[in-house]
Amino acid sequence: MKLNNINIILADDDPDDRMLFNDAINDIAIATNLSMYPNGQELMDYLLSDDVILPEIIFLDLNMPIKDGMECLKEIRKTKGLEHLCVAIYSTSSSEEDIENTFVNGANIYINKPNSYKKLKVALKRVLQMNWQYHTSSLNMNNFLLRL
Amino acid sequence: MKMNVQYDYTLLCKTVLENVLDRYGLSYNLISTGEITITSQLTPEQQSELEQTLKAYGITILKNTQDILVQRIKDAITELLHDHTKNRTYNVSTYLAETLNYSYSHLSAVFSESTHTSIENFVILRKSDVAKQLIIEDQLTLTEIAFKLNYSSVAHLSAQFKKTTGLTPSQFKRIIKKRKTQTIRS
Amino acid sequence: MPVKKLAKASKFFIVTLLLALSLLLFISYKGYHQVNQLKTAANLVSHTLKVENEINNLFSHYADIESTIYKSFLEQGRLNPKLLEAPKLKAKKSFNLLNQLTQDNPLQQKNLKQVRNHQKALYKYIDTLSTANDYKDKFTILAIHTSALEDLKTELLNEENELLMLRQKNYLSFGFFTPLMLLSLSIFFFIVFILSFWYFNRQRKATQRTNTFLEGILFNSADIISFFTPVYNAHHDIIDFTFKFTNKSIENVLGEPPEIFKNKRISEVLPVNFENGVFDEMALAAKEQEPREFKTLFTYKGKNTWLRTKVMPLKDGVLTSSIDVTLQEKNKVEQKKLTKRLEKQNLELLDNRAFLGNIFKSVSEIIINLECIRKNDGRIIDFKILFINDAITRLTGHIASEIIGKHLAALYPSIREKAVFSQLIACVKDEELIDFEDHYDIDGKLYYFKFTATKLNDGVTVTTREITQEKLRALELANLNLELEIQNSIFNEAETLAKVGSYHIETESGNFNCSNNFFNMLGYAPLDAEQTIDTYKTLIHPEDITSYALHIKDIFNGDSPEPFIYRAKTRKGQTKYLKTSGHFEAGLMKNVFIGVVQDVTEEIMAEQKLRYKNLDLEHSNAELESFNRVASHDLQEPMRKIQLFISRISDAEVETLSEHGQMYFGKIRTAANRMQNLIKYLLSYARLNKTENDFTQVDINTVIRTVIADYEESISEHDINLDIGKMPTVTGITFQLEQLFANLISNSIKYRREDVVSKIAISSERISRAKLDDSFVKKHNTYVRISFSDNGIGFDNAHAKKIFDMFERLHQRQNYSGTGIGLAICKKIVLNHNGHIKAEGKKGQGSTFYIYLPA
Repeated sequence: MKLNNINIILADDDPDDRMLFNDAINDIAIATNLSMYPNGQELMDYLLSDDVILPEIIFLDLNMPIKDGMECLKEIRKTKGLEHLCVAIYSTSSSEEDIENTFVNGANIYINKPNSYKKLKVALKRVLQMNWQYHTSSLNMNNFLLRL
Repeated sequence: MKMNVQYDYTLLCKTVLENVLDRYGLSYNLISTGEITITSQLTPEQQSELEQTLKAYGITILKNTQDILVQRIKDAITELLHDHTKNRTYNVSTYLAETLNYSYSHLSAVFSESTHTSIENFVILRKSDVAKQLIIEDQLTLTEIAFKLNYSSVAHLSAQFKKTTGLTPSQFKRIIKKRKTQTIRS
Repeated sequence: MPVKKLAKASKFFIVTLLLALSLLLFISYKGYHQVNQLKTAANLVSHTLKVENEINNLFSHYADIESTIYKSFLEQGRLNPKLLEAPKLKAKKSFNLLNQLTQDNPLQQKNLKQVRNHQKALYKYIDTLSTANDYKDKFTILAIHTSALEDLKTELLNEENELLMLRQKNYLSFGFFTPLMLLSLSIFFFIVFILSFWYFNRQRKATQRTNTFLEGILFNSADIISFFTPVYNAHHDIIDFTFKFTNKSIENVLGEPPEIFKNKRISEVLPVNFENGVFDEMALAAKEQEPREFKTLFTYKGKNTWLRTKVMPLKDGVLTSSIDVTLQEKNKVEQKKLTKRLEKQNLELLDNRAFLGNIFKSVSEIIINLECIRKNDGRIIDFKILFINDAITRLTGHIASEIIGKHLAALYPSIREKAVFSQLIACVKDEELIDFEDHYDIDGKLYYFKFTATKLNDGVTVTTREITQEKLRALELANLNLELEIQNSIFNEAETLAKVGSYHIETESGNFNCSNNFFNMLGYAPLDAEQTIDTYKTLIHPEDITSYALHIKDIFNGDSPEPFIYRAKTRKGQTKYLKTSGHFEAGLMKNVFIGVVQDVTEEIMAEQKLRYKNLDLEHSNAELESFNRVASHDLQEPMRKIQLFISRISDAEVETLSEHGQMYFGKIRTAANRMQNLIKYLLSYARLNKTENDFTQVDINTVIRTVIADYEESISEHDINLDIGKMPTVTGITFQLEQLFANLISNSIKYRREDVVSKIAISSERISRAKLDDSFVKKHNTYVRISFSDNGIGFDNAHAKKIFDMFERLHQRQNYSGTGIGLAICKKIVLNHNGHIKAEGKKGQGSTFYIYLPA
């Protein structure tokens, strides 16, 4: 396809969400490598490990036990080597302020967990495409903000 | 100490490119953004080494003619967007066709095949990107930005911006501002 | 003037001397003449002798010749003429000489002529002799010749002898007179000399005496006497003077001994004289040969001296005499000063007099000087007015000058009956200063007076002051005091009622005064405890003592402290809350802090209760809210899942169901959707908090634009016409206002009519508070009213209020989807913004919503 395998990570505590996400990703005609983690702690463990393969995008659920999405986001943005990663918050509906807050804390994308499989696919596709555009067209990654 | 800087990307890339090429002791000519002629001879090993070094800086050598053309289209678009006088009088299609000497339909087909998105989409994306930059710089009002990017009105700009990013320009501005104060505090 | 005398004497002497001199000359001349004559006589005598001598000589020569001849003949027998040459020559010489000598004697000349003739003859003969030989005859002739010559010689000699005798006689006479003359001359000389000498000596002595006298004067004189000779330049102008003499007194003024100045020029030693005019005066005196007198200030080596100088031309120079008049000058200045002062004092005295007179005139008090009028037995029966000032006129109408000299009681008979009279008498008797008051009825009005009397000689000086006003005021004051007392007691009552106590502190002295209730409030009767700040402090709650102390300190510093609340303990041990406030009154003499203390225990208690209640409420509210949020959120999750899986099935599996199954599935879907919506709205409703910080200036135009952009698809899909007017900017929360309009627009779209072109109109206007009806609580003065109207299906206006209630729906579920929460949310948002929302509907035509927001 147009790109090499995009590495994607999802951190979400809900197994159903994980399953659906997986299905949706696989259904999109883009070559991807998906790894999933049930909570923030495991995600960070992986990201901070020595043999980490840095993903192109990280999808973060906000409400997770042990370490929630916001914490991870902040940590990622503070850690050297991880600060440039593209982070998408993937969460159930929150207030406008909360959404804004995620952007303020460094999230690039905010995806409201859609309630239909189709919408999920569309959203993910859009995200991947946008991400790729940014990477290939020397657009300013810092300004990459997307809200779906 | 807090410092705000602005980068001139073109100059930045050019300088990096020149530095690397100089480091290899190559004689070369920079024709335009994205086009260089290297007069010295390079072995394939040297070539791949050069490629690797450049990659570290995020500079990719385009092999594919298609890729090259696509890049040129992208560059042309960027240039057009930055030049206010031009983007008033021209529209994208005619500009590209004239500048690159291909028919617009051909350019369009090549672009779509390569990037899986249309030139129009890319233009919108690029415009949004420029708008974002200008909003962050905070030197111009939204009206001025709209004017600069050849939108018919602020509403038009806001609408397209929202469509592309999901945020209104003011939301975007607010977020960026808050991000900045956040980093100061931390 | 001795100088003149000296001069006179000189003249006389000179004349005499001249006479003497001329006499001397005359006599000398005479003597000289005599001597000359003598000389001449002597000369003549000698001349005669010489002639005689010469005659003798000549004739000797002749004799010589003769003899020579004889000799010659004798010896040689002939005559050698050569032998005669020498004697001839000699005779010739002698003859010439004789001739010469007798030039002046004609007789002798005659004789000589004869001699000559004879001589000639002789010589002739002689000549003949030389040739002749006859001696005897020759010799006889020769002897005749020679005897002739002898005769002639004798003639000559006789003549000469006569002459000689004459001359000798002459000479002798002269010889007699001349020495005599000389002698007398010398004697005369001698006498004159002696006389002159004596005279000179006398004069010299006199001069010397005068000199010494003069020197003495000069020496003793206090004046500086100097003599100068002028120094001339090329143009014969006087450019300088040379000190020729100066006396000792110069030392007093200049400090230098006179010797220093001798022969020095003024320009060298006293250059100051060129500046102070002295030189000019001297030069002028010298030039015009007139004495001059002037006075100058002389500055030499720092010393200032006034000198009055007289300059007098004297001979070839000028004589100056200077008197040190410094002291006089000083005295003059002093005198001038004194005179001026005296004048000034005189003027002052006059002024004072005038001033005093004016005082007397202007003073409002009546000043009277009285003299006692006594009866024979010494009793005082009346007083004579010696002096009274004009003030009396105001009182009685009398003119002061007219009543002076009159008797007091005669003028004012009523005075005898007054205390005044006896007081005056007492004053004279007791010799004490008396002060008393009295009142008079003048022209129907009552006047009060105050008298002060002192004894003066045999009388009194009285100062009378009208004190009517003062007296009246004093009476007023007494009245006021009474009123004040009454008021005070009322005040005290009031304080007790109001549970208020008051106090005042004089900050300088520290005096503390409080009202009765001050301590009463704490259950202490006024006399129970000493009423000072310190005792009060003991009643204050220990925790508040510090701030109370600060409060007091501020008061004493002069700062007006803020009112503050503190606790104090009552007598019974209860704790009361007291609030104190006050301010400074800057009085004439002192600064006083006036404070009020109020028992605010009840209020504080009530406040506390309220606060607790509020806290409770807040807590329960917060709980409720979080419950809401959590509930909504937690409800959302399963809901979403349901939706998701419904969609999955719907996409992939639904076809595998039976028809019934599909229908049921459809119903599940619908129900799920509804629930989803409900939850969504509930959540957003729950989220509507009003936090002060979120309020910003929101431009409604932007809000509406954003909302319309969101609904763009629907709007264009259903061809809805939008008419949006200019919107104001209000203070609010952007999110919520967006939600508000979103809900309204969504409703309008939802409840549109299918048969017409849907229209939505939004407009705004400003409304003042007065024009609003009483349906809502108005806190602000001006509101903006945004009118949102559509031409949808409308509603029955009877339900206008109900539609804002939660879950109220006016339609069947099937016909119109809707949660019934939308408008409730709108209402909550508007209330959050301190505004109001109102609805108006016309069934089948449309609805209008009025949103009131504070401007």
